[in-house]
Amino acid sequence: MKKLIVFFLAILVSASVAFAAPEKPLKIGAILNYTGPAAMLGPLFKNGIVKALEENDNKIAGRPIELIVEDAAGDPSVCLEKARKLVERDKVKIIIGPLMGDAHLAIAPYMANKNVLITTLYCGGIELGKYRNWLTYPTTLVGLTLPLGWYAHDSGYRTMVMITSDYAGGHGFMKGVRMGFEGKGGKVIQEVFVPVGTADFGPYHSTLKDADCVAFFVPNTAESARLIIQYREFGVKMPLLGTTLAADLPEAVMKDLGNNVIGVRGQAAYIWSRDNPVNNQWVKAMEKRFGMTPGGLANNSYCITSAILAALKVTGGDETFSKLWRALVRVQLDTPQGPLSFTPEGFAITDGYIVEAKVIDGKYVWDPIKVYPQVLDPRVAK
Amino acid sequence: MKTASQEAFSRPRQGQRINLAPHVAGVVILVILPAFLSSYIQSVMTRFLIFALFAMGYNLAFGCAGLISLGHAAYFGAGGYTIAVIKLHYGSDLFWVGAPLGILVATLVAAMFGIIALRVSGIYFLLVTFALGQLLYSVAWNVSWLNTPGMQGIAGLSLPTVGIAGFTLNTTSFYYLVLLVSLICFYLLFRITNSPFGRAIVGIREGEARMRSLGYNTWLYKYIAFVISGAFAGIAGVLFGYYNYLISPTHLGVGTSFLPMCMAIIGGAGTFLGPVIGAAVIIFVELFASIMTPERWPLILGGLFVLAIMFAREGIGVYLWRLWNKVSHHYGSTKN
Amino acid sequence: MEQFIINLLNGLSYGMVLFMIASGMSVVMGAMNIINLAHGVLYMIGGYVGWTIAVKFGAPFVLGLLAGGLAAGFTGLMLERGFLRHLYKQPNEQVLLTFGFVYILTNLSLWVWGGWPRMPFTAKFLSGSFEILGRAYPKARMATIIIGLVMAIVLWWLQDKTRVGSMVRAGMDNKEMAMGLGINMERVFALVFFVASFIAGLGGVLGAQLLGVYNTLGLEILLLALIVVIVGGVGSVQGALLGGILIGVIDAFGRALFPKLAMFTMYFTMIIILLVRPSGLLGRRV
Repeated sequence: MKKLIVFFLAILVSASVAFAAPEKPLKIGAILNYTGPAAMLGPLFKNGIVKALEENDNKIAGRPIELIVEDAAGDPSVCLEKARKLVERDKVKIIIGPLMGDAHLAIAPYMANKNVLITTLYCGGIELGKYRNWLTYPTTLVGLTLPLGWYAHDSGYRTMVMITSDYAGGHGFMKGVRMGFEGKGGKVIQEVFVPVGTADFGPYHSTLKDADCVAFFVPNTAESARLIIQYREFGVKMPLLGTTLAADLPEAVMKDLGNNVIGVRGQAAYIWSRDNPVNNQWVKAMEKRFGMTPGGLANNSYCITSAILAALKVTGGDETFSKLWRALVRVQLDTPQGPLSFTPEGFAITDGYIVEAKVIDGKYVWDPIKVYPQVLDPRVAK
Repeated sequence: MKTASQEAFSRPRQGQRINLAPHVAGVVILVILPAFLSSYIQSVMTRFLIFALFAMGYNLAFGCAGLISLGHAAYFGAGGYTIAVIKLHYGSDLFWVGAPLGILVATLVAAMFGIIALRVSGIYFLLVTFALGQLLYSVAWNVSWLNTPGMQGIAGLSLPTVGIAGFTLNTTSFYYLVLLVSLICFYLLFRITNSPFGRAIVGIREGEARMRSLGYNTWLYKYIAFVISGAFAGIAGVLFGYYNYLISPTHLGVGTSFLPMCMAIIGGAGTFLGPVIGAAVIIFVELFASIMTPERWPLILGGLFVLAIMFAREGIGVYLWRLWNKVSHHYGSTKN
Repeated sequence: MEQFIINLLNGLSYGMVLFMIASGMSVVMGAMNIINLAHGVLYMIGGYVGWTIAVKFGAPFVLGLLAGGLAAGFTGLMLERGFLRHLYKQPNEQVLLTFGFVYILTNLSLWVWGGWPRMPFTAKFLSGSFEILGRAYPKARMATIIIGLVMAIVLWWLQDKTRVGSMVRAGMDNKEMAMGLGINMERVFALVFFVASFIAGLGGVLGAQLLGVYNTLGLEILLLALIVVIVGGVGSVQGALLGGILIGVIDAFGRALFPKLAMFTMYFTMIIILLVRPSGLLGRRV
């Protein structure tokens, strides 16, 4: 039994020692995906954060900034643990992330009274507004896909079939498509729900009804790619509208998909080929710094971090939540993505782009073909 | 078959009194030390205690009765989901309502699943318990009554209320509540393991045919052990629901079912307190590893498992016991 | 009617992939009483290596198949010779050890190949579709069904009609007796494990035509394999084939007819089988 006590003591002592840390710099926490289904996204989001911090010399109002990154592991429970660690042990007042919608819902009640600013990385549900400590960027789930619904109708389509990944995020994104499409007079004649992590879309593609177009959302690159390939394999001829494809399918993946992806259209919060002085300069700087063309993910985290830094400048480096929040909802920035501002509940107001997969100069790209400016989910308070 | 050191560890020999001092010291440490630590460490300790309880309960079926269950998260999750559903649909946080109901539900699930699973043994038992756990997982995923709208699982759980006006639990007081419950459960498990029932269970694991020829209803003994083990898993699950602010289908699935098994094996499945050590090892290593290297921590955890099996085969608990014996004999002999 | 045939073909092609992964696991469980939770990771490694050969280096698909199988086979052999060999009658330790390797091998794969999933790929002559009853059907899936059946026949022949196969079956029933007859069970076991892992790797490349390869495949496919083994029964190639086809077809029809309940139909089938025949449809022992 004695060895038990020794063992225990050893662990407790080393734990306390390891965890005792001084706290002078401004700490920013980030919960990103390094393992699990979205493992490849963590480094990309981190790039955006790092770039924004470096543009400010990793300082704000004279205080050095310390970035603490945690692995979300693709699991809402783990996100919650990490959030608790960041808030209770590291005493951060600002957390960037997590990515997944169910993680948001899992963390939100815990974060509600902690006076900590927390952000999404790629849309959040409209429920986050009521907590008034969430920065929802680039917009709500619905707000992101409204433009695609509008675009479908503007293109002359009148009927639509939807393929929806059967979880909260999937429902949310496709709801936006439906609201946009039916709001202008179109009709969704069939919605097929596919379980998360579907390997084989064959059975579903075989049951699609005849409509003017097919819109879909599945939650990650692997599934999107499989869906598209199998769509072609099964000879479905209807025009295909993806939702978050431009962020999901970077050049490497598009090349793998080859002809299968040409002609697919989707919407994007950000597209690197957007011809605009602020964006052109940013893209060049990102390529130089990280050796690759930035996508929507790096852009999202970059814009979020920039907005937070802008707010911190206004408060003079004071991270007290009430001051920070007041400054943040008043921020107006010209970002690489487009003009950015916020509603009083923390929802970002951004432009929405429609993009089409093309081969331009031998490279696979998402070409922006239409802009819908300053999109706002109609259910959100201005 | 156990080695001498395992025998000594797990139950008192004829006429030997249990050495109480180390146990008391351990309890005293668990009571006093956390008061001096930050609330974050306290919540980590709470987590450790919850999983230690889960693993200890599991080991009644696994280590003592030799039932290799890969679906114990079903009972753990059942406990957690019960208090979650009570919060979600009935708005009540009351510990005295949630906890007993949670334990009851977990026990019922274990009773049902036990009847199905105990029709087979060995590898098949493992597969059947796995299947049943996964079934419950898919039920929790699909049935909307078991989910907060908009997500998989139930969020918005919080520390329980105890019905004393004006008193709310915080991290520290919840830790002590969990400690109290754990100590009571450890004591109960100790009594069960060292009772005639407990010895019969071990006997069945070591030679079922022999026990049957002695007139024991081996199926019934195994079944009762299994159900009791499920009940303790349910207690851990109830506490976990409160602690975690969230319960999701993952907590019913095989990923969670692995944990008590790993903890029991690493700490020493043949020993009484082995699972507690295993829980400490896994929880603290996972914590440290993922802080040190957010990208490569699975390598550290996996490496730990492999090393533990290859070099501390009977469990880290036994390994440390032997180490201690070696050291104390060495010093003992130099004194002479 | 065409819809029925399409669903059936979908089920069969998926079922063949399941058969490949489950057969190795089932035979190892039956012959050596070993629970190898890392079997799914072997499938994934096979898929990744196959991708590297066939897509990255542009070599013929068949080479990719072979490379994937060999990579998985040798990884499995290393696992068996280096570690599992010492744990023959200890299921607890096997579980923990192989689980540890799941963590290690998955993270190593993440390190080597990165987190980007690999798209489904196949041989040049297999891409595209052909016509069945007026509907398009992918050639690669048809090929998967055919290859799977061929593999099943080969394995069944190995199991029932060769000396090695009878040695394995003898060892399954009574290891000491077999050794007493002069059979070197150690070598037989190593061979069985290698072949099982090889098949898993092969399955990984074949399955990549439908599913692609990505870093959480290791655990996902393990779960599916366990389900197939439960349904089909431990220890026989026939069981894995029957289980794989059954699960594949039920899954395909379930998704087509009751999309909301897809996961459920599989688990439900599994429970029914367990209640009726706990050792699986063609299990060797009760």
